[in-house]
Amino acid sequence: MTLASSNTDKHAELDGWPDAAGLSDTFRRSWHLIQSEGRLALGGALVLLTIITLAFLIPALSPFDWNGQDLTSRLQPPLWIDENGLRRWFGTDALGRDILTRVFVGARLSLLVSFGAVAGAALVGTVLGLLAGYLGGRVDTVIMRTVDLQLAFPVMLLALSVVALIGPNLVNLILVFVLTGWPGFARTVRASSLALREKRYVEAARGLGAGRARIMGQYILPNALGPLTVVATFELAKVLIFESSLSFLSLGIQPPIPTWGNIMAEGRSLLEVAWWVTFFPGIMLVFAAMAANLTGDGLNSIVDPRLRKQ
Amino acid sequence: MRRGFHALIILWLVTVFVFLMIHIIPGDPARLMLGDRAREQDVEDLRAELGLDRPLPEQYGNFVAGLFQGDLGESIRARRPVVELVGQALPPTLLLIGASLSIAFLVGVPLGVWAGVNRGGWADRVALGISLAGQSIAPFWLGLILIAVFAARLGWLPTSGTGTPRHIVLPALALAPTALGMVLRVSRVSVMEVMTEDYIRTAEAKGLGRMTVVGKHAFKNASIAIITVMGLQIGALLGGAIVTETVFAWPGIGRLAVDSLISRDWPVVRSVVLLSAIALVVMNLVIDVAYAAIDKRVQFE
Repeated sequence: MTLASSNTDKHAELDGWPDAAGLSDTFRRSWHLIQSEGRLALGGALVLLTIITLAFLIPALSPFDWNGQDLTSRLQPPLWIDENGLRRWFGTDALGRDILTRVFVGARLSLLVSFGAVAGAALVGTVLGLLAGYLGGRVDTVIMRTVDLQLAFPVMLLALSVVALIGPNLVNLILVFVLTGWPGFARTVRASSLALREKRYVEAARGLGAGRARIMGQYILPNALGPLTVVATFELAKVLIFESSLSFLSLGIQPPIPTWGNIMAEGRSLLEVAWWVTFFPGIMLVFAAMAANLTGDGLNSIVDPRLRKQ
Repeated sequence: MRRGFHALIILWLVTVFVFLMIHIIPGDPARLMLGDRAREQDVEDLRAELGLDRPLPEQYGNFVAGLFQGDLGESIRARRPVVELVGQALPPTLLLIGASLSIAFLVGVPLGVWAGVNRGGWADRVALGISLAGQSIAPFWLGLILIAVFAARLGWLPTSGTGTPRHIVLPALALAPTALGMVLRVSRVSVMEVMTEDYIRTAEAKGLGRMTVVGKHAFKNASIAIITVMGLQIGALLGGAIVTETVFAWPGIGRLAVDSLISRDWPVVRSVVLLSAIALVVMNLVIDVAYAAIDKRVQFE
């Protein structure tokens, strides 16, 4: 059982709608929570946002083209240990291309694949999870068996083999990570729907003649969003690392278009002479993954009351 | 019983999925393996050799029959039985994963227990920071940095390959943090939960020292959760091992898989995917059963 999927039974405590006094109390408590526990989530989100902003700012402001080769300034070390004073902040690679510019152009692609994949996986997983949890019966069995089947394969190996078969391009990469990512979302949303479908307000809606689609979309989904967001942030961190690993193994976006993974692959043979080619894209990956995980942790402690500090 | 039956169904689905994988992809499987530039005659030959010209149900039947006889086909690249290749690559991978898990366990559990006992204190924060970092670092990047520092710069350890015990140090260190982060987290949370139990209060009330209470009562009960997670981590470790082995030229399953993928040696790729899935399913079944045996409160429907 994952931490996220156990959140739902705590949601169950909110049975029916709170009255006005209760509501303002709830509001005050939520605000307090966001102030105390939300700092982590906010910090993580800010770091991610900074990386996204820089991914657009730096290539635009940089005097160097991301693919501009300059053989006179090959393998320049970073600014602070550069004796020739060529002012390349992160240094240059074997073709004299500016690492700083390439790292942030690479960030665009790495982030695009990761955000796209997480959004897709969340969508697929949520729909299937709602159906499985709310409809139950055979639909549930089929969907959950598929989840189990999917989880039987190591994610990395499955992603690698599928990409190798269908070819590494942007759309295929996103598709592969949707394929490997949806079970986590489906499980979480199913657990939430199972807990929520017996609630009195859901029964009331059913009694008033609301259809299945309406109940799932309007009454169950909103209350499952908390755990869902937590899963999404953790998944984002994972996909960022998976995408870079695939790129590193030359099964991601292909050079000359830079991604964090393929810059590191180029740096691998230069480790002894130019560590910076490998170091900078990797440390950006660590920052991005850490920011996503931090956001997840923060959100999780807001969503799951058991994790709150006393 | 029910668990075993469920696992059997999943195993069956796994074989169907792995078998169909290459057929779902648009295009001719034999052509996919040889590439666009291969001669038509070679493609024909390979098709006949792999039995790809037969009807699908017959192919699946042969595939499963082969599995039961321990026959996984022949590698296109190495021209050797896949079973042999996998058999050679398995011990190094098990060694690497074992070494990483040991590091994760030896460092993660004490840190986690320490954090769990001092909930909210600075020890807790430090431990959570370590766990966060561990789960956010790509093993292959850490491996490259370790090579740059300890092999290239300082020359203390070999850059890659295998042979002496010194060769395993860097790959194991590169792969360990992911599992370590998880182990730390789980031991922390389970110790935290156990510390609020009545019997811990009883033990403390009896006047037992803090170390005895934590070591004997809290840790014993938290260990179940830790073992469960260790099992679940095997899949993630295997995933991390794929890239780490490539970085360190470690002759294991991961490198076999990557080399075969790049050279489109489908019989090998298929077998590695299949075997690791079977390993994961069996592992989880064993853990479930062991879990129920240790903790009598766990009942299967």
